[in-house]
Amino acid sequence: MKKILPILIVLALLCSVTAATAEELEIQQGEDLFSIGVTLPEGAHVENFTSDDQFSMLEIGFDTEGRPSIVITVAADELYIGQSLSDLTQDEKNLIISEITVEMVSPQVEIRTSQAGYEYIVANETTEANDTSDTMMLLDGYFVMVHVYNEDYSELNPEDAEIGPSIVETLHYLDGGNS
Amino acid sequence: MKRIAAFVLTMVLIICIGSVAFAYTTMYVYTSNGKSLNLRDAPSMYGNVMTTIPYGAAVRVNDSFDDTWYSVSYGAYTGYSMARYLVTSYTPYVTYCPTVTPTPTPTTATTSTGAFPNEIFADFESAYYQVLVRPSNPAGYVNMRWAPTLQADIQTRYYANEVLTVVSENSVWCQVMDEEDHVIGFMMRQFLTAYSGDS
Repeated sequence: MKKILPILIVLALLCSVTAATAEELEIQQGEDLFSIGVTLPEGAHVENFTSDDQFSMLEIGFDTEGRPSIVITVAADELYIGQSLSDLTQDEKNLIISEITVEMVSPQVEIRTSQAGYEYIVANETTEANDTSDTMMLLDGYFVMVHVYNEDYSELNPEDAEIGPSIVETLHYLDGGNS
Repeated sequence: MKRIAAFVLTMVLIICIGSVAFAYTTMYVYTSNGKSLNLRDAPSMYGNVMTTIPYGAAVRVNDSFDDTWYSVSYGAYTGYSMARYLVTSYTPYVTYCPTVTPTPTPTTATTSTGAFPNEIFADFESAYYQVLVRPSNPAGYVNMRWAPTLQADIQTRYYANEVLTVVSENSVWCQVMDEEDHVIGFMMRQFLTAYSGDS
């Protein structure tokens, strides 16, 4: 019975076209308590999205051939309620890094700070078996992950490997969010 | 007539035993950071926190609300906790300690075409049960690979709460099948959890 209650996660897509034709997304999760906006790279568009009460996933592709796939996931975590990456100790950050890179054989990891002041983790791997770029931000207990990869897992060029960080750099709270 | 009655009675007993078995499942709190787990009054992050359950504590799982939340009894409280932090056996917490960056295995001919030694498949045993994908991070993913080794090429990726079927396994890896997309490959079993299917 409870299953048919209105879905808690609502993901609204605002296809507001900016001057550079980049698509801006509004991601609203958990009723109206977590609401963020990000801007996609030029030529990228949402192909599919799924959501349940804890997890949202957007699958994003490019208009042109030969560009990578992008997956943006948002998930709440009971263990980090109200916390952002900058609130955590170094050991706690290391734990999250170890979770992100647990299946990587030779990860390259760095913590960056966005222009808006949010810390985020960039974890890349370049191996024969796996070439991927994962960018992870923790905001008020919500993990936001941007996962970039080629469909055949072939090597990402340096420009494509920076897609994740470039999206996270545009992340901002929207009015009504818990900023 | 008696046979029908006996059959019906047997089926009722089987259903009751199954229900009772699930109704009193004991599970243990297992959080990646060693902290306590919230017990809430509703199956939602917006439910009020009734109490917190310390790491490693045994709880009684009364029912599965969905893939994300279980109805849990702890002490005098009954509420809801996130399923991903409940496991069927007690697991001691190991404080995070940095490890040396692993040295990649030489990648000579480690492709999807089967260049791995047969030994890596030797201890697999047949199985057949459903599991949920549980990435180490709730926003993360789990790789499905062509062979049971981190050096194997990635076939595809799965995200939280996707349902797969284990068809063979060893202590570290499961050979899993996506019955919807007819894809089969290998995943590390630490990212899979038993699925009751009654969500």
